Amino acid sequence: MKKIYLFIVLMSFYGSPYLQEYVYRTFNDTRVINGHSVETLMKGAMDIRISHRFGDLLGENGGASSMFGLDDMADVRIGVEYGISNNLTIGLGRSKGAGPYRQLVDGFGKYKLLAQTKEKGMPVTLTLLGLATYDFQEASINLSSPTSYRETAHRFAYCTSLLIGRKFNDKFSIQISSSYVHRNYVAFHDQNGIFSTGISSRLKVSKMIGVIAEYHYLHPYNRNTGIGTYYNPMGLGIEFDTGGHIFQLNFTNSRGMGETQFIPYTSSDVMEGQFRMGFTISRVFKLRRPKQAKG
Amino acid sequence: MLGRTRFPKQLIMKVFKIAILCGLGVSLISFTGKFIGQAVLASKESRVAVVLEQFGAPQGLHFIKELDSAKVRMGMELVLKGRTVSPSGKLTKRQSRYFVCTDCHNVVQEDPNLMNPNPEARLKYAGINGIPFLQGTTLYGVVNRKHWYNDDYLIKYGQLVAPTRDTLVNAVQLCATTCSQGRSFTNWELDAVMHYLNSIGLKMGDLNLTNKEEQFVINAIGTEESNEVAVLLESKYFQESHATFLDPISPVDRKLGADGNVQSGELIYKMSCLHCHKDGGVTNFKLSNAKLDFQFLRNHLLDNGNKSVYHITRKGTYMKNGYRPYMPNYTKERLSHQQLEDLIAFINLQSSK
Repeated sequence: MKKIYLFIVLMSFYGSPYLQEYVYRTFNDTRVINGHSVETLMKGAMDIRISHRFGDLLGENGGASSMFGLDDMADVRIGVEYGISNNLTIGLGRSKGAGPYRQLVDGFGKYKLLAQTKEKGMPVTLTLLGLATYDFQEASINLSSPTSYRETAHRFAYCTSLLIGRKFNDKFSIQISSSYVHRNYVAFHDQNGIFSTGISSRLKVSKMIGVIAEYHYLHPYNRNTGIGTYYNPMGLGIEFDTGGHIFQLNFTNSRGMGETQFIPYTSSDVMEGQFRMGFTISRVFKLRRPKQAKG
Repeated sequence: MLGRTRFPKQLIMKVFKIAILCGLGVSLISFTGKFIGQAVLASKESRVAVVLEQFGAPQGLHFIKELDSAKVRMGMELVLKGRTVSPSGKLTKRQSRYFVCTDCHNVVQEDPNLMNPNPEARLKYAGINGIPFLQGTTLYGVVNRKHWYNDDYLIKYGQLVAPTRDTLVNAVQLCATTCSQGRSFTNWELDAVMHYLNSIGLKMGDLNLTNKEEQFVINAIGTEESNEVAVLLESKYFQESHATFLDPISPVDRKLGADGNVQSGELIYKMSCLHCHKDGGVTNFKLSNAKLDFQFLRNHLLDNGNKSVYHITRKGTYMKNGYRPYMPNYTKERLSHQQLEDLIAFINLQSSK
C-alpha cells in the first residue's frame, strides 16, 4: 500500500507545467451524468449548478398520466463549487434527496493528482474525490427505519472515488472510476459499505454537443435489503456546451443525485421502464483570471 | 636704491608647468565630457525620450528621467501579473480579477517599421519573433506617443476618453477600470507603472537612424539645431495609434476565405485567437486545433452574431451582469479585412481535413 501512495505522490510531481503540454477537457463538465468526472474547475472559477430528476418516464408510475414523469419530481439539487487551485475544487450542495435520505447537504473536495499529457508521458488523468452528505430530516420514530437516527453521526454518509480518465482524441473520452460508499446508519439487512466500479464516456458530435453515458457496477450486485432491491445505476445523456453554460439532458434509472445517493439507492429497474428524464444546468463564473492549468 | 625682487628660475618654471598641466586637464575634462555626451546619445540603448528632453523637446507628464529600478520591477509585475508587493511589504490586491495588461497588449516592439505600422507587416514580424498578435497596441513605446484612445474609441467609451487623449496617466487608469474591468491603480502603483512604461520606451536603436542622421544628432549637441533633431527623431516613429472601427462585412459580400492566404491565417489563429481561447486561457469559449472547433467556426461564417468570425472580430463582445470579461474588437489597424479572409481560409482548410 505504501508503494502505491509513494507512486501517486511521485507521479503527482511528474511533469512540470513548463515541460508538459496537457490534454484539456477530457469531459466538458465536472460531472458525467450522476457521477463526478475527472475534471476540476480552474482556479478562481465558481460553478453554480442546478439539477433535476423527474419521475419514471414509462412503467407503472410513468406514461401519459404523469406527463411521462414531469409531474413527479424525484430529486432536485442546487450547488455551488469553487476552484481553490487549478487542481483542487470544493463544493457544497443542497438536495431534496431520494431514497431513504432526504433534506441533504453535501460537501466535497476533489483533487487532480495527474493530468494526461499530449506527448509521451502521462496517458491518463487521475482525480481523487472525497464527498460527505448530512441528512437534515427529522429522525424516524420507527426504530427499524434507516433514518431512525439516534446520534448525529448516524446522519452522515461518505464516498471516496478514484477517477481515471483518458481523452483518446478530440471526440472520444472514457473514464473508469472506483468508489467506496460508507453510510454510518443503514437498514438491518443492508450493509454499511458498498463498492462500485463505474465506466463513463463522452462522444463529441460537434463542438457544442456531446453524447455521454455512464454505468456503475455495484458490489454486491442487485442487493436486497428487505425494503427493496437496488440496481446498478446507469444513464445516457446529451450535453450542450455553450461556453460558460453547460446544459445536460439525461435519462437515468437513478432518482437521487450524488454518489451517496445514486450508488446505494437506485431502486429503479430500467427493464421495467423505470428510468427518468433529468437535466443539469451549470454556469461557470470566473471570479479571477485563470492561470495555465493542468489538463 | 631698492633692489629688484628676483624670482628664482626654478619657481617660474614650476608655475609654468602647473599652468600647462591645468590647461591640459581642463581641455581633457571638457573633451571627455562632450565625448561622454556623444556616447550617451549615440548609444542604441539610450531612451529616445531622454535624448529628446536633452534637446529641449517637451515631454509628457508621464516622463521620468531617472528610473528607479525597484519601481520599474513593481510596475512590471503590475503590468504582467496584475499585482506586486507594495513598498510596505504586502502583496497587493489584484488590479483586475479578469485580465492583465498582456492579455491585450504586448510589451515588446511589434511593428518592424515604427514609421508605418500596419497589420500585415506586424503579423509577419509576430510570426518570426513569436509575439502575440493582439487587439491593443503594444506598451513598448507607449510613453513616446502623444495621444491615446484615439479616433473611434470615442464610439466605444464616449466622453471617458476625453481626459485620456493627451495624458497617459489618465489613459492607464481608464484601461484599468474599464477595459480590464478592475480597480484604479493607487498613486504609488501608478508611479511604478509609469517607471516601467518609461523603461520600455523606445530606444535610439529602435529608430534605425542612418549614419548621417546619427552624426547629425551627435553634432547638434549644444547648437541651435536642437529643434531639428527633435523633429528628426519624432519623424522616426508614430506619435499616436489610430483606431478605425469597422462593421462586419455583409454576409453577401463575404468571400469566405476564397482568396485567403492559409499561412497567414494559421499565424492569426495561433498568435491571436488562441492567445485567449486556448484551454487555460481567459475566456470560457475554448478553441483548439480540433477539427470540431474548425467545423464550428466554418458553419457559422454567414451568421450575424457572436459565433461568426466576421462578426465577433469587428464587434467584439460587451460585459454582461455577472460575467464581466469580454472580447475587445479588432480595429482596421489591428486586423485587416484581407487578414480576416486569410484566417477563414485556414479555418476552411482545417475543417475539411
